[in-house]
Amino acid sequence: MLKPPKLHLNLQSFNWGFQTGATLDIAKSVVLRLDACAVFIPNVSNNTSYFDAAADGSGFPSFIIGNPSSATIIQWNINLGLLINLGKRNK
Amino acid sequence: MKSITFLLVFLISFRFSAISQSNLQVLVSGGPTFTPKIKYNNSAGYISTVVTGSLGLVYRPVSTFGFELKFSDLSHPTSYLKNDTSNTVKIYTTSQIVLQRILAGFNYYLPLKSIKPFLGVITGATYAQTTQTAPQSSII
Repeated sequence: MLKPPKLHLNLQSFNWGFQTGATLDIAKSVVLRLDACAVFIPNVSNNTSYFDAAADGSGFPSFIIGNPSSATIIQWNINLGLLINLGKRNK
Repeated sequence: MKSITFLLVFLISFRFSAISQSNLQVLVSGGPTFTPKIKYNNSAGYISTVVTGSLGLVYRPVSTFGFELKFSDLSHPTSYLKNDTSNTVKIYTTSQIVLQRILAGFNYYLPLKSIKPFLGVITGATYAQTTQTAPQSSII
C-alpha cells in the first residue's frame, strides 16, 4: 500500500497555561530561574498538521479511524535558565 | 510641526529613560517538554518528549509583579496517531513537526529574601507544521 502524497501545511492554535517556579540571584545582574509550565492547546483536531494531515484533511486515515475528532493537547515544560538584568533592579 | 517633533523626541527619550530605570530582564532558558497521551475518538495522539529552548523578556515594574513575553521552540518532536485495531494508522500519521509558540503573561513573585518563588498565567499561540513524513520504506 502506497502512502498518498500530502501537503505539509501549518496550523496556528490558541493556547493558555500556568507556570510556577523560583528565581535566585547569583550575581549582580544575573538571576537563575527554574520554572515549570503547563500549556493547554484546546480543540486540536487529529486531521491537522499535528498528525501529518493537510489543512483540507487529506492524508488523514479516515478509512481506519472514522471521522476526525478534537481534543485538548496538554504539554508540560520544565525550564532552567538565566535572567540578565538590563536596568536597575527592584529590591 | 517642529513642536510636535520636539514633543515626540522628548516623549521617546523619556520612555527609554523610564525603561532603563526599570527592572527589564532578558530570559534564556531550556528544558524538556512532555506531552501526555491525547485522547481522540477511536485513536490516541502521541507527541514525543523533546527539548524546548526559550527566549524572552521579563519586565518587573515592582518587585512582586512582572510581565513576561517569550518565544519557545520545541526541537522537532515526532508525532503520530495510534489505535488498537490497526498499526497502519501510526504509519500513515507519523511525521516530524515544527512546534513553536509565543506566550505572554504575568507572574506574581512572593516577597521573600533570597529565593523568590512565583506563580503566573500565560496565553498565546502555537504554530505547528509537518516537516518530515515517515520514510516510504516503512510503509506496508
